[in-house]
Amino acid sequence: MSGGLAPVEVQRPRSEEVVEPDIPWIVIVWNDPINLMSYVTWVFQKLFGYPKAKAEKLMWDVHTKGKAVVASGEKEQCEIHVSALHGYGLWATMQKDR
Amino acid sequence: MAGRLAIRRRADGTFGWKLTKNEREVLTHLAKDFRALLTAETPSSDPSLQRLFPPARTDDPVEELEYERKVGDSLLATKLEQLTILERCAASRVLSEEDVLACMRAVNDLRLVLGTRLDVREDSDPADFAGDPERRSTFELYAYLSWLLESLIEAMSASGA
Repeated sequence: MSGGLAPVEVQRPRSEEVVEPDIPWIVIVWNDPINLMSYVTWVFQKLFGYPKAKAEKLMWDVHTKGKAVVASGEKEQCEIHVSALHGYGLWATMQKDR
Repeated sequence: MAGRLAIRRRADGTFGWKLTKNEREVLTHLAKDFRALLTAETPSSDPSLQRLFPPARTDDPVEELEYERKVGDSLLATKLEQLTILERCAASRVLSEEDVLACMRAVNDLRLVLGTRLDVREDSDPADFAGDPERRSTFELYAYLSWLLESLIEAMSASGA
């Protein structure tokens, strides 16, 4: 990408013209009346490798606040998480963390 | 059902699965119905299907289409595969860990279908369906599957004894 003949003085383009702002993506799990609390906790442990205490805390957030951010990261990784959560029957969506 | 163990992890890493003949028949029957729902040639407007295949991108319909194109078929394939394993396991007495995982997911899918049809709340109980024998019996199935799923989670969480 950078050769020895590149000029030393380069007008640096403003960063937003070149790359998208680096806003991470988040995965949200929503409360529903069907999924068992024990099952939701278990899925968080199984899918994300969270310790039981963290998985239970997230499950309680889903249950009492209606939703919780359970993971964040690159878009493709979040898509994989969402489809895995759907595979387990949880109600999950993803969006940019604005 | 109280106090009875439907499934237990054994020392060799497999699971002993103790269901009555009636329970095995019920699971086989439910799995068959669910397969018919998932593979119907005419897409069903059954709201339970929307619950099983929820949108990932409620913020952007175009991105949602793109997402569905990417994962839609594989999610359906996974659900059908889990159902096949549940049908096989309904006739079996010893399950592998992979079997138990697939059964958990299939049993939960069945709960999602029945629960959505019944429009259950977190605190629903049999009395809510007392006036309607058909819904009452669907709720009993739903409650049975909840109990079964709890048993499967407990067995998976227990270390080998």
